[in-house]
Amino acid sequence: MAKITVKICSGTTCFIMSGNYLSDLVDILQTKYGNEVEILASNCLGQCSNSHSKAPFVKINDEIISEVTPEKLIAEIDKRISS
Amino acid sequence: MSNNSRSIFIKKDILIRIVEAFFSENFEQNVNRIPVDMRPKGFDVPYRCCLHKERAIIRDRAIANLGFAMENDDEVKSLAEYSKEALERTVPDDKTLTVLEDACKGCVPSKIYVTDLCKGCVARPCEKICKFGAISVKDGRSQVDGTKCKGCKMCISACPYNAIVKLAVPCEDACPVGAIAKNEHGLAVINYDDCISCGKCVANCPFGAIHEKSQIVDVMKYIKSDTKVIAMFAPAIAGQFPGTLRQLETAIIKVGFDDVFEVAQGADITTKTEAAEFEERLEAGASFMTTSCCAGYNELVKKHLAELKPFVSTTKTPLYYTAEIARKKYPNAKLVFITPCVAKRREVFENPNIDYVLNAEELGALIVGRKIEILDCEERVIENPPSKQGRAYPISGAVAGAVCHAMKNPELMKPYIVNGLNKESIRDLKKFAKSGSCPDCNIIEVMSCEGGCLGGNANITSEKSAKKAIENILKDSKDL
Repeated sequence: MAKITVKICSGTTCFIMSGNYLSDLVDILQTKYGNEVEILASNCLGQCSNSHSKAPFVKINDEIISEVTPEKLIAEIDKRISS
Repeated sequence: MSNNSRSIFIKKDILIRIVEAFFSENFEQNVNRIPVDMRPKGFDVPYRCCLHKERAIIRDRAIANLGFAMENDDEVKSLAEYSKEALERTVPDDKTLTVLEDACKGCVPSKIYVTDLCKGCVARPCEKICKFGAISVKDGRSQVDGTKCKGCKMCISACPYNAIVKLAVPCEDACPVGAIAKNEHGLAVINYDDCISCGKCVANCPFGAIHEKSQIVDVMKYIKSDTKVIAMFAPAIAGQFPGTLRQLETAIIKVGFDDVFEVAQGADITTKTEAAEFEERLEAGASFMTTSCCAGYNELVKKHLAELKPFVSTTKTPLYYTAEIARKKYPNAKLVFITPCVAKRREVFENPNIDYVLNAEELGALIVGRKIEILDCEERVIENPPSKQGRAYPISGAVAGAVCHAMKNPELMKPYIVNGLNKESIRDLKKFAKSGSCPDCNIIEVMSCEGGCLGGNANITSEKSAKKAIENILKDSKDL
């Protein structure tokens, strides 16, 4: 199976709109998923220019996920691992 | 309650929209649109009963973010009219908080309640233990007479089935001084004579119904004008944003401020002055002294613990000294303090050198609303950065640590740390004041918030990650 890449946006908008709570999870999630998943904190993914209300954003492989919470992030990663 | 709750997200969303509206062609009309823009027709109702209630509460939050009290709202005045009034205002409201009536309806008034777990037992310890005759057994189950019950909770501890509970009202439970209570209509009311502006009700209401009255419009008004506007940021702010401290300063300049001061600079003066004062007091035979930099604690002493006043250090706060320095350099500017703290708003009202307060969320809204990417900002170059000790002030225990560092005989210090004001720690402080001594200690550091200023209610990040960020900054800072 190809490795899943998770980029957590650490740009200013995402960070302020609760994304900092996702960035805090980088190490914990990396430990949880091990080699199957690569978790990275990323510079601005460029998604916030239209709407800060949809932040924080995460990019999983090539797909953008919006309004991400820690629960949603884990569910999205799990979904991709099982499929 | 964490800084990550949904109501805080909504609050920040509204603040950003107010900033965008302010710098748009039509401030008033664009603010007026906020409730409908955030909850347009056909929007899935996420939290409340219907779209209309969601919009009503967004309107309430916008009014507080424009700096007005919801208590005076007539429900007819439009957000456009409020926006216009905010622009015309010359002095912000000195009462720091407001309760959003539409949002504050979730909890029932606090009372003792007998649940279905009651077995209607023969022993009836609840009935026996109640000193007020408020409990009787009817139809095989205990009942509480609300007119007689004093809420002492003796029945709760007496019941062997854990069948009796106290219905919680989180704001009332969080308030360390009993300054907030539900009225007969179920609405929380703040008694400002008793309120110490500690912000614990703001942080603990699960509905986000208690709001700071923002001064963001007042600050933006001056940013847009020819008047110089100067930012002074609390040491706690350093852990609240992405990027480096020097990048954050550049971002603050890009928002429109003319200069930036680290309040840690004033903290260095506080440290030296307080260390000298402490040693003088010890020599004069004083049994103990308390710190004086926490605004919530200073309000507490003023309103509830007058007997502690002689023990409180007369040294001024880091903000006081920083404002003196900034005022000297900019005699005609507007000085704005940036902080995670509600109580500092009170301190600022009493200091003629400082004009306005922004909290961390409001600075964040300005940065996002002006579309500034902190990570792309250059590092601002500064001379004479503040010390490691000054920058550590927002961490619980660090003020006493800094004073100790600056003492001639540091081994004399025996610190006692109050990490968060609550009913118990206030009772202890009262006891120390009455007896005139504090066991095994000669200096008491008091922080109103748990975790120090990093636990302040308007912070963006968690206390843990803020602490990590600040500890990184401390590594690159020099000793005082």
